Amino acid sequence: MRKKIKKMSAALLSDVLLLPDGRILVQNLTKPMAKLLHSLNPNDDTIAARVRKNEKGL
Amino acid sequence: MLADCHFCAHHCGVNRMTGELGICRATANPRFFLAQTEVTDELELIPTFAIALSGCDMRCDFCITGRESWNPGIGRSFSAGKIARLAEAALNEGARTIMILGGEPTIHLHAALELVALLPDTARLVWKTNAHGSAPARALLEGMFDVWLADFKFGNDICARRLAKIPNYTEIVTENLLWANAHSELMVRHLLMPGHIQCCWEPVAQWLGEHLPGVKVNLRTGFWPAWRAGRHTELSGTVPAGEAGQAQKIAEIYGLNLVP
Repeated sequence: MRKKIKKMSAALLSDVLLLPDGRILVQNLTKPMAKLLHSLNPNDDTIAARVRKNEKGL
Repeated sequence: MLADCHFCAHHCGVNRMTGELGICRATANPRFFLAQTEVTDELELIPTFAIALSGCDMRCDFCITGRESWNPGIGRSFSAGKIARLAEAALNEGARTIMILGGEPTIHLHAALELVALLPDTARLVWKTNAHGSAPARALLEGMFDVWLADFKFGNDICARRLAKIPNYTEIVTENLLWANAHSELMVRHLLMPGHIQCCWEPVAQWLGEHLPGVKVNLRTGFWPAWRAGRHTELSGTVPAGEAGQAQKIAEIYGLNLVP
């Protein structure tokens, strides 16, 4: 039982849409994906705020 | 209530216990397609442990989770006990809230309430809904959730019928929003759709300004042409920067309390 729950929680899912004008839209933004996007563009306030909130929550 | 289902405002009255299907096509046994900690939502709610139940009573052609929302048979079998344990683990790892969503969770109200009963009393619970529930559903939901995160998608019944096949949309949604505001903390979401500023966003903004002044509103500009959006010419792209700016100005005109 424990093994199954571990497996479920490990399967994270984010949907990402890359637009030709350089914008990135994300649905179901997970913590790892937020960190990745933040590392690609630290100046994006929308993602930065979400990474900061996440860090405070840990 | 499953034997005579009136969870949503369609009031199908089908017996889901015997396999009869209403508009949402949900049986008595819910499934879910996602259970994970996310940071997508409103800043004051994240990180949230999000549990997405399959199936919905609306048929939005632009649905971002169309495959899962239009088919309640997709995903894994829902076990309140297992999900409650995952949610508790997420809280221990720093999640601030637990959010139940869909699809549309109202069509699985029995399962959602079973889950709520198993969650820690101190957990801040969020009910993410399309605000198309019925009065009997609202009665069952009273006092169960700390926050109602409710969509106000369309500013008129013509767009609602054309894009989501929903009759009497504005009357039903506004009734739900007023109730939610009176019974819990309410946050309203509007997904800005390209080409729908005047017909949808402006009437929504005006109504919110007049009837729910000060309520938190999240104006989302990240529309993308998902699912069957391409069937509608104006929905085949993203929101142009000019329209996003115009929408912000409308929010200011009606004095909305926009939250990120």
